[in-house]
Amino acid sequence: MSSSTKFLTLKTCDDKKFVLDEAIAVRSQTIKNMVEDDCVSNVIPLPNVDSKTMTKVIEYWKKHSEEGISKDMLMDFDKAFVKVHHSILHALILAANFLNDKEMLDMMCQEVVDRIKGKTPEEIRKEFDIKNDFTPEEEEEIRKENAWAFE
Amino acid sequence: MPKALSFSTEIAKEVESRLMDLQMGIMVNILSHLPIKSIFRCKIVCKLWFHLLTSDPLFGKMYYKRSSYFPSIFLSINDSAIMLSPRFHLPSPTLYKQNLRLISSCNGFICLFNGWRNTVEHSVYISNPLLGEYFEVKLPEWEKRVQHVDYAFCFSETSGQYKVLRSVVIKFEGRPHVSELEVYTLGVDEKWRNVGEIPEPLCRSFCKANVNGVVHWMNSEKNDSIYSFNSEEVKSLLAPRDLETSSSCFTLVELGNCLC
Repeated sequence: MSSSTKFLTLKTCDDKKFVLDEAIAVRSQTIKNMVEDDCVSNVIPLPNVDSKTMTKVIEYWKKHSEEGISKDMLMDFDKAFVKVHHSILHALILAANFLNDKEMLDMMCQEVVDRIKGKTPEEIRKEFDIKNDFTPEEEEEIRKENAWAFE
Repeated sequence: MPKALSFSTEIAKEVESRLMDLQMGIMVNILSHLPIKSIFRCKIVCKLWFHLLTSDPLFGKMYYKRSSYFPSIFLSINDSAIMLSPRFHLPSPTLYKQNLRLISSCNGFICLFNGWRNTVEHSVYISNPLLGEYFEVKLPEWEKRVQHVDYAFCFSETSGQYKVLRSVVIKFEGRPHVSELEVYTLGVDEKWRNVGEIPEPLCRSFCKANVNGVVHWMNSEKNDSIYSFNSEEVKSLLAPRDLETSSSCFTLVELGNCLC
């Protein structure tokens, strides 16, 4: 590791600190902008991200910054990475959005898309713990209008 | 945005973050990636999604932007019958009549004409064929002196409004016919507005092209002028000179935002 390696300290909302190579942390456009604007003092606060989520984010960043890692290995890693409970998936989407890491955000959103695809409304609600707030009559009405989609 | 968890112990069930709490922008983005059948199914998952999918303008915009990556083809045969590729869903089977005709399409919305141009027996629909939604445009009362009408449909980038244009050819005893132009702004106007006479009567149908949200049509007999209607007034341009003597009927088309 060269002597010029700079480290940044990130502090999550639950007061956990993460020390990270700047070269890796700038995968976040939000952090990159802060570094470029020279407004990084000692610690970068991340008020919207908790430590559990940040640990996952850093795991992803480190893997994607590994030298010499093959595309196939990355694909396998990504595939396993998104196989989490929807609440973690949701927290990661919020974190990726706040940190402005488009690549990660797109990947997480695609996972949600894949989980919705091919499912019935009931299965979608179950998958994501969504409460059905339609009355049976309202639901029937919409179903009738769009009957072909439920064949 | 909901405040993130502030304790590091196991997450309690009540404060578990849920998909439903995602920012609208992200949620709409996710939904706009779905195939058409899933979009319909998502409509009845919950009220929030129903709203995002049916009344949020952001969804339409995102979906349209994305759909330009998979262009859909819409066929109109001989200007009279309409064939839809299987991706499309026109809502009501009663719409499939002999005289259903495509007026124009903008941003994934299509404007359809059903019936006959020279009688009161016709209707105009605006449809989003991908979502299978449509509504009928309320037409002005048919006056006896009207000979025939024709329609055009355009979207104005500047105002973000969709407009339906209607040319009305009126017959007078012993005088040449006159064409008047009427415009109806979707979602804004209660009634059609008359925006005045067209310099030359439009005897046949609009041979039209939409460029930058402006409807252009050509004088159908002499081929010597092109008229345009931005959103409030009619302007005329000179057509390329070589066309003047020709008696064949030219069609204006749009190619990469230019007229040709």
